[in-house]
Amino acid sequence: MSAAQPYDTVVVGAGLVGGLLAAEATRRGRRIALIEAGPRFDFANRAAQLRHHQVFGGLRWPYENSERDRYTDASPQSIGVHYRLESHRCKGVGGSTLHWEGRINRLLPADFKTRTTYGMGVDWPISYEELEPYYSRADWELGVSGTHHPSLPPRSRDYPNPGFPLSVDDQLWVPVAERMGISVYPAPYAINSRPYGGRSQCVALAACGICPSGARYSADFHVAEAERTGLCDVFSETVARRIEVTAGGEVRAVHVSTLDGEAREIRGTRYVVAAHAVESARLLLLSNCGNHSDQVGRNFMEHVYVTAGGLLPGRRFYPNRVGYQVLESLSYYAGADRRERGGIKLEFVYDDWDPLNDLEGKRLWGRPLARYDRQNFGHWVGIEAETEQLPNPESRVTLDPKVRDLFGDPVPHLNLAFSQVDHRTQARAREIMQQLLSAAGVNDIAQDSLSSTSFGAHHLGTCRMSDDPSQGVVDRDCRVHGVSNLYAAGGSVFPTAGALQPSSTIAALALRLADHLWPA
Amino acid sequence: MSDKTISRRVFIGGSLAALVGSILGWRWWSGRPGGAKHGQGSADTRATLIAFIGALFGRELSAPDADDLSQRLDLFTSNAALRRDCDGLAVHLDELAAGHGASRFHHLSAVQREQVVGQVMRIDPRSLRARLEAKLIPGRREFYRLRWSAVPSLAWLYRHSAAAWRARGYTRWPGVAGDWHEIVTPGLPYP
Repeated sequence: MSAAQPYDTVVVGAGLVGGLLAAEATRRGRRIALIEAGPRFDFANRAAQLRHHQVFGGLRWPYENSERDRYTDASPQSIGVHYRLESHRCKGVGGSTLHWEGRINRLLPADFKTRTTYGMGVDWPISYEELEPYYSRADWELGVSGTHHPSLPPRSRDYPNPGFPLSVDDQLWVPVAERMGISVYPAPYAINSRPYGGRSQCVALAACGICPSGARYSADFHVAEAERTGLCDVFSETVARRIEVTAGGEVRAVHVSTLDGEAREIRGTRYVVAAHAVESARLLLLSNCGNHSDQVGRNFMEHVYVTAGGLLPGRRFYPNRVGYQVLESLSYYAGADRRERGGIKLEFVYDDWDPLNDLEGKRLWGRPLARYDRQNFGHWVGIEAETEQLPNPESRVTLDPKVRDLFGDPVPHLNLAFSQVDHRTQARAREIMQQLLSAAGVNDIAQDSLSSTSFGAHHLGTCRMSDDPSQGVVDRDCRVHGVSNLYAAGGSVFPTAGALQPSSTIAALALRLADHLWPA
Repeated sequence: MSDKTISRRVFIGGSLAALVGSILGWRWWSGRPGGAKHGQGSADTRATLIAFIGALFGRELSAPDADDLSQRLDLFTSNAALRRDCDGLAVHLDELAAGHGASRFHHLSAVQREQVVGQVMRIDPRSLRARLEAKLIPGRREFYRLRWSAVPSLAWLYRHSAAAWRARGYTRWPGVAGDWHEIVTPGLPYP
């Protein structure tokens, strides 16, 4: 069964890219379809959803369908730990912006030319300067609260909302930063410091991963805006299974199936694959599309967080009064050794350790556990270092040859792989954290080893951008090489990852793509 | 065959029979259903579980704390499988309370409750002893299953409850709205 009339644009994925494209398309009078594998969540249910998570644990967003969302993972063999995909993505209208924490950063200008600047990675076919106007538009679309700081990249327009200030806890680090000669600053957040965009200001629910108040941006708000125009159709719980490409190198339709097996095709003039890096690559591989140079699925990148912390008995902090912490530093992002390692960004945190969690680990219960909590809660200070993973063709998403999903399609097979440079980056991050925590007065510093929770849920690189078709999947305009009306968007098109949250760049690229698809 | 040999064989055989009989009797005794504890009212189960959570975390729970935990338990036990686990755990707790002369765990004193919690928690269910007991004694197998499933789940529930945060002197906790500007000033003193 087909949709009655072709759309101007069909987008696979109703996340950040799909939401922004839908809003831009409908503002320009274009009809657009969003195909979303996951469910639609009712905003009114978020408070109940939070309570459910507080009682039962598990995934904050109940998106998972065990037969639809199967995958296999070879990462333990390559990096020693399992990569739990179900915890590092969210399928639903709103995509990963449903479960993100809202911290938002632009890549630095040098991140767009790491090969030229540092002799490693690859250069993007576009520059920071070309993307900057779209970064600024993205800030205003998402309602970013921020305060400009010299550490941050240049900007042509101020933030739409005032930034969150340093907390009383962050004051610990100000004199330490001065002694060490580093800069710290409050990070920008896509969380309303005041009412904006029809959404509430932050009310300190300390549950940013769900955000029942709506102060934290999520793409379902843009999808809702688009739907209200009557020009946007959302096909939720509908899985895009094949992209049909004609012999002339043009997409004719996307073939989809609903969870109960109803099949249909959805047709448009142009098509965008924006289903997050794993599923975007998988769809292109299933469709035998865009993979002329064996690049689809390769260079799968994540951000590895290495963490360290310890107790400051003489100091009390107040974790979890709000759900976000703002203090960051980019002082170690570059540096004299930058040609030997990737980028490193530091985030200063106070809520990474709950003494009550040591019930099983330390075999403590009863009054000893209560005493332990009284003595230790609120004394813990930590640093999380977001580290860059360089593009690596062996780090990739392929189709599993044996395991199938509920439709009978091969599931994605992950193999996250680190290079020697990645290991050096992580090691250097550990040295830096050790120095800073010692300087802050922490004596017994605990460093967390790499585990299945050490990742930022930032899926990047599997359909990367390159002007050279032999080195990438899409060109500088995100058009898939060799297919005239097919585009890929989102983190999948990043040639390098940087060591900064990708959402700002994803949003900027989406707005740039919108201008390309529907020029004024 | 000498008298001595016959005597030795009779002795060994009789000892083995007694040992096997003891083990089988022990298995029957330990694995038997909870008798009068079956069909105990949900109010008693609820009271036992809340008392257990309090004792597990070393807390004398206030009325608001108990009320908050009760509401969370309502949601928790809306899942049939989890309700069965909770009922099973409550049965075990009440049986252990009988060793202190009480019919219900929540009738015990704070000190006695902590002793029972120690009995529950002391043996690591992943240990060799626990695994052996679980294999030999059906009742223990179920006990360790509950120890490894229900106890951590109830611990998660407590850690995310108002009770846990109030114990730390917080007047607001995740899920309760406030003013984000609070972060620029210290919180209330810790107890």
